[in-house]
Amino acid sequence: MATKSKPVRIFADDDSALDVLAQLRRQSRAQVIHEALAEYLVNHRKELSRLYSETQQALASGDFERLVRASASARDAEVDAIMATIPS
Amino acid sequence: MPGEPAWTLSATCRCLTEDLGLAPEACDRPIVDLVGAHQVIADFVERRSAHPIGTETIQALLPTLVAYSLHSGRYRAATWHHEAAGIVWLLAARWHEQGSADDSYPYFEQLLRNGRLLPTRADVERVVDQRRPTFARALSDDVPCLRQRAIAHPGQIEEDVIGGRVCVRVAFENGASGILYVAITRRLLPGALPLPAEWDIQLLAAFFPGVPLEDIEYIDEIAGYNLRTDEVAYCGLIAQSQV
Repeated sequence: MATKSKPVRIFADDDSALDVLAQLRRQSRAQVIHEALAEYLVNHRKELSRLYSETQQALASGDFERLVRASASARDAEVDAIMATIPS
Repeated sequence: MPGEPAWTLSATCRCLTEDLGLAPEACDRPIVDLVGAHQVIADFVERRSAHPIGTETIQALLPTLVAYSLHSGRYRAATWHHEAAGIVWLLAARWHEQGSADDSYPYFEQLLRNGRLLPTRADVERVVDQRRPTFARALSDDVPCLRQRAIAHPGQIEEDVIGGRVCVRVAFENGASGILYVAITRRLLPGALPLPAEWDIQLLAAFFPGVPLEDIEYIDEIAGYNLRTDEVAYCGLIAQSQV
């Protein structure tokens, strides 16, 4: 069951996550998903970094309302995904 | 998966206000809070809680929509199991009078034709908003518990459904420095929608307090074990003070 793995740093400028993941393409569904997610994270790094920090700070301070507010972008993403599945 | 939730019940605001005569404020309340407001709602909650579909499809709405008729006294209601989103909707309700131009089924068909039967963005937002605090609460309550379970049992994979929405497996390797692995299933529960990346980010923020995002890495395993086909995994070093 054990696998040999190479960690890939998400936001490293000098170590292209996409290049490494492209080598893994077509090997498994999980790796393709991995690659698509990596691309998204890199392209949206600024807002996702902000969301990450805001969530950590809200959790550290125990501020539940702030935590809910921080998740506004996650909420919009879910609404968009659901709307796309409603027949027109 | 442990404790996978089934589906959420909801109604369109148009149905609640136009068909059942409720005040607009009712739209903001969970449907289970409205069972005393109308018999159709009570029957909808009782029957569709037990089973997301009925036995009688509404032919007039096919093939656009596979909706089911719900009988509630002389009322007929149209319900739709929105499988991808894990929602069962109460779409419309009307007095049933076979042969009458005012009957429920022609009315449902007319609503569909006019683009007024299916949930609007505002309806979807209400459902998401009702689910959302549960997930936020889970970030502060469930995640630390799952993380602690993993740390307490190095090398063992711990699994849970966070806030009823996301299946997560976690493992901790206690070597020279502790590494925490977090494998996230890329499906939003209930339903089958892909998990938005924003959810990963919030989960990681909860699993790795005090760790910068730049220090979290992708990895294609969890503590030496293969990932499931629909999982993405991350790992990061955990300070000794947090173990």
